[in-house]
Amino acid sequence: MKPSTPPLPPDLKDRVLNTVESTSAPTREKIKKVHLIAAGLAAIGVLITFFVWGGGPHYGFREWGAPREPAMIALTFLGAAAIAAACLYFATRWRRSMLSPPARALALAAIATTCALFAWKWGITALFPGALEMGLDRAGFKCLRMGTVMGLFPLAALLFMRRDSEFNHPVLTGVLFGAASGAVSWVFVDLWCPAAFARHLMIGHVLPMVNLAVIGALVGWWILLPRTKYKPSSSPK
Amino acid sequence: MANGSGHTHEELRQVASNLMEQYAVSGDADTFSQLYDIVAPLLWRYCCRRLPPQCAEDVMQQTLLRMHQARGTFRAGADVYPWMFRIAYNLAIDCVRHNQATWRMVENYEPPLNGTGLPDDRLEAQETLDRICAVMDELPERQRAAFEFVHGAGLTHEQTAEAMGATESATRTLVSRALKAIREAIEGARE
Repeated sequence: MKPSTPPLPPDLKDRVLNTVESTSAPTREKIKKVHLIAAGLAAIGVLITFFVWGGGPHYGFREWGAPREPAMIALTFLGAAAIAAACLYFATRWRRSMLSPPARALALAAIATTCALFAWKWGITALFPGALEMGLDRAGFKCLRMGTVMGLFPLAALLFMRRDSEFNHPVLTGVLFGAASGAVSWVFVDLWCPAAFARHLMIGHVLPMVNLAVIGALVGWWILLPRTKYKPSSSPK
Repeated sequence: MANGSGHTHEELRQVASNLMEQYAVSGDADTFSQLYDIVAPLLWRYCCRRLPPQCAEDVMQQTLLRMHQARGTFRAGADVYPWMFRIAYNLAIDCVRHNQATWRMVENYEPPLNGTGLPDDRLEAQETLDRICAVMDELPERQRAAFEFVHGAGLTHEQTAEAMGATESATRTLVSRALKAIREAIEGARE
């Protein structure tokens, strides 16, 4: 078959360049500044929630007996921070592409982050005798509330930074952003919360990630999906 | 594959991506003009195969405008083609919905002529083309999109996978299924 594409209209270039010239668009430097401000505001939000609501890091509650060992706190914190950083990197900067990775990769990254954080916290705590028995009466509702609220700040920042640009998988990208935000809040909740038995971890630490992933999916579909629609030109051709 | 300017498709892709990168940093109108010169023929061909000329012009113009508006978010080292064709694809779908038109990717092709070009041959070729059009209309959307990215826009399977947010193997499967359906339509027409 021989393609019979009509010739490119000669005045199209001028029309495109004129439209472009009359439409303002920020350059990368400006976008970077805006993103830095968004990231800074998110960090401030997380820190205020952590220090004002949570009271900052602590070793353990007096009524629970012996406090957490500093080595255990350092190990769980550093491991969780590394996992959260890896998830954030994957969600935002991993590929040199303007488009998101395949759906399977997004879903796997979100699930793997959640599983890795759980396994790390539980596994490291289990290495220290008696540490898993701390606070057995605590269901984890304060951790749940604090983790969810703290994660909302980075989630809002991530969704804002990638608004109107996700063509392929806006819902799954939102889920991954939720998981990454949940991972960030996990790091801080981990500094605060001495309890690490499985039921508490599921309710207090994993459930906030699930909450944030659901919020990310719903808001992501709304915010990440490009809404610019085809507009027929009014001029007759 | 080389075009009229003597550059290969791959070289032009690289130049276009570098120009978009420069444009993201500088916002210089001349850079966008150079970028237009490279991408416009490709984009025009893709749009014309999907859409009637008046829609093709709108979609092309709006694709380039979107690229301009999103220039600040263009990532260093990213390939501009999958992104650009993905924008055009989405706008083309919107355009078709807006106009309530039907998909006719191959309607802008002339029917192939075998043999002498006598009226009988022309009729047969037209029937084959009609059959292909019907098959294209009935293809699942993802198959049709993958086929058009590879055979209409000239993207590689890797770029098509990137544009569709799928794996490369899934993209190859989609394209080969579309080709199989079209081949069967042609063979059916010959019988």
